[in-house]
Amino acid sequence: MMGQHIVEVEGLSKSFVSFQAVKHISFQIEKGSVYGFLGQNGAGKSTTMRMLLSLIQPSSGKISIFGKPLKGNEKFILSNIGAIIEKPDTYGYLSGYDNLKIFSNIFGRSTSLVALDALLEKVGLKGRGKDKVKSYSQGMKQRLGIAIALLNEPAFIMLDEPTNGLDPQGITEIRNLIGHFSKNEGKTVLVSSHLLNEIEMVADSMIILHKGEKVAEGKVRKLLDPAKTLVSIETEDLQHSMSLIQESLWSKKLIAQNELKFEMEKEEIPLLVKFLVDQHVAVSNVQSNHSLENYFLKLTNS
Amino acid sequence: MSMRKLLEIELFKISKRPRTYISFAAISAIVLIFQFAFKADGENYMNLMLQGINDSFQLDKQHAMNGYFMCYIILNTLLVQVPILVALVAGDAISGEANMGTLRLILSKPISRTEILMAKFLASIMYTIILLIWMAFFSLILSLWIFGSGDMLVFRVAGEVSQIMQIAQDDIVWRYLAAFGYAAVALTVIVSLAIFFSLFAENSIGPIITTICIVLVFTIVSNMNIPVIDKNVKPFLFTSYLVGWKGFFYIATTEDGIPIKGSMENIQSIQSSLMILFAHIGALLLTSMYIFKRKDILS
Amino acid sequence: MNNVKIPTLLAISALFVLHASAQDVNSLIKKVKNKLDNIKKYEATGTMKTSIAYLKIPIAKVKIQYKKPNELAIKSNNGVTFLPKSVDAISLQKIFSNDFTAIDGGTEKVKQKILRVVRLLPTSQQSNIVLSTLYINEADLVVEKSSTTTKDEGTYEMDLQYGKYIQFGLPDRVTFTFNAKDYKIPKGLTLDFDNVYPKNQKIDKTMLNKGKAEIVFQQYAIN
Repeated sequence: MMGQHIVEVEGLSKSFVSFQAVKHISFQIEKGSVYGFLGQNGAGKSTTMRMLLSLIQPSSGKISIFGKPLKGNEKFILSNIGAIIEKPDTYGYLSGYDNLKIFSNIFGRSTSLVALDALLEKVGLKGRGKDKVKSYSQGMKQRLGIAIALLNEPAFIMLDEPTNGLDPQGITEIRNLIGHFSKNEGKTVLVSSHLLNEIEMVADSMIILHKGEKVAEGKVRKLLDPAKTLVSIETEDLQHSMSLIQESLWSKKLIAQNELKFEMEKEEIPLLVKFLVDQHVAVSNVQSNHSLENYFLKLTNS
Repeated sequence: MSMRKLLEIELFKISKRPRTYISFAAISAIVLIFQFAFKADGENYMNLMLQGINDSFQLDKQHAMNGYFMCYIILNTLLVQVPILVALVAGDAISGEANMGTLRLILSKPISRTEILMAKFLASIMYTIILLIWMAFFSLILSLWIFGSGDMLVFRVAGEVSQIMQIAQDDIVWRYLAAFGYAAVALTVIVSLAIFFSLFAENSIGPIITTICIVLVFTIVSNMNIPVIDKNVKPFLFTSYLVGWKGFFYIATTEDGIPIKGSMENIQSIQSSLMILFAHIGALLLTSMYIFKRKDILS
Repeated sequence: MNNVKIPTLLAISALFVLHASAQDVNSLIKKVKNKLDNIKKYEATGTMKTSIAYLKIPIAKVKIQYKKPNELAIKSNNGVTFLPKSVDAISLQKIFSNDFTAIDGGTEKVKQKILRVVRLLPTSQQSNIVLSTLYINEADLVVEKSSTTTKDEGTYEMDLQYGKYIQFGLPDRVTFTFNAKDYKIPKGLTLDFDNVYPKNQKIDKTMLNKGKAEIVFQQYAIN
């Protein structure tokens, strides 16, 4: 139903002089969900997000946010969006406080130190407000970017590659924050990434873009097929191992002629390894490709 | 979001950048050097300017080299270089934000592009006016303090004739106020030009250099004395009108050649120059707004 | 005998007339000079209007100081005043300070008056003055006009008007023209606004090399 969709995009295209960056994509984002944009670098994710923020004019298509067409309603729509596009760039020669004050003023929010400190604490930058942003680490700049995105308490948050350049702890924190926005605060979040794990872990629904085109869209769980885990096994005697597999039920899972490559459920991997070991086959290496990675690679390679 | 608030934000950002203060330091240094040089050896300059007259007239050169005269000399040189200093800030307006990556941040906020461009334009003008006030302090107030006051001599070439005009001491200050006002308008053309070029770049160097180059080339052409260029090219170059502030010091005279207090020789010329400058500002600003509104922000 | 006598008589008569005329001119000059010699010093305040094509300057308040025999100085309290250097050179006292031969030039109608024309030729080779032609008001024993040619500065012309100080031979108004070099500002120094000479101003090209100064004496403090 239309009322449940915070974003509706129909037939969106963008052509630049030398190439077409986005080709007739359509999607809808449900209110309160986390929506993933997945695609390789140059797939059109950032271009699409920029069009949603009115930074780029579409060549054709319609964009509707909060039930209103974007064109003509930019002020209302943008006042309810918080966004980080690509790197979270801020004014490096200013302090964290000064950066927040600038944007607080734009939104007509309080610029008191108490309010700014509360925000900085929320994103894990407590005590760093006075420092110039150019002295921040990449992770800290990311957090400041998020703080600025949250200043106006937006109903819709757009995060473009939010975990770029972060350490594992930082990545976890961002993931938790995204989950918190959606589950606890009821915000709608759009997250883009070329890292497949990220999308799988945070998104409820997603769209996969490849060379400006939509190649898939839907609920993440529905798109993921548990049966699509790709397993690759190395043994010390390939020929012997191949003949054993071909004579067993495991042959149905085999997807290569001259290699021990299988497509199976994740839970079946230890059973296969046990089978080989029981047949006195020395297993030297087991590799499993992520299901989504497999799916994504398959889609984008076709 | 009021324009006043946006303007405050822009001025705040300008004030926090070290490059802003280069201009103030440069002007102070240049003016102080001039004043030192004239204090030490100004008589030689006066002798140079008065060669040919010294045989027929005697003049108290120390009194002639008073603060008002000094300010005129300084402005003559400085107002050729100040466009460069103004371009340093104005040329950074949009391209600087693009370079820092903050342009997409600002434009994804609920402010119209017209408001942002106007705020940057007004902030650059305010910076220019503050720079002029600083210049006025150093070149006029300080010169008066060092060299004293008195009637002002204005040296001028009008067609084939060289002239020296003397303006009474009590008839000078309003002329300087008007001249600075005119200079503000003239420099606003530079601001508009620099901001216009700033739209097309993601790095400030390009717009700054382009603006400076255009001003230099146009100034050179404006100062050529070739009849074809005089008629067909010069009237259309804004640089032909940048030195129009001097018109406030070209005093009108009676038929006997006696200066008329409070008068200007060619007020229509100044008025038309101002109109041409305003037309340039309007055209550049409107074109900039048109382009900026439709520009895809890829930075 | 009669043929020789008449021309001789005529020649002798002419000599008498000439001598008498010369006596008359010398006597006139002496009277004019003596009148001026009675002034040991004076200080006058007044205004000076200088006209020359390349100077647009206001009327200056000046002080004129004279000390016998021929020290004449013009000063201004304003500070910025263009004072013609030649003022001193053409003062009457300076003219009369030279030894000269006076030649009667007859009379001429000048300014609705009949004035006696006397030409003074300095006898000294060192004198800067080559020739001075004075137009003298015989009744008042004052010079009303002069034209002085010098070796170095060309020819000056002076016009004098008298008022309440006529008894001292001191004028109320003196106008003199002088030669001046053409003036050109070194190129590139001015960066001018409009290169075209303004249409509402006329250039009197005859005044490019000639200046005129008009001094109005307001108050004399004599001796």
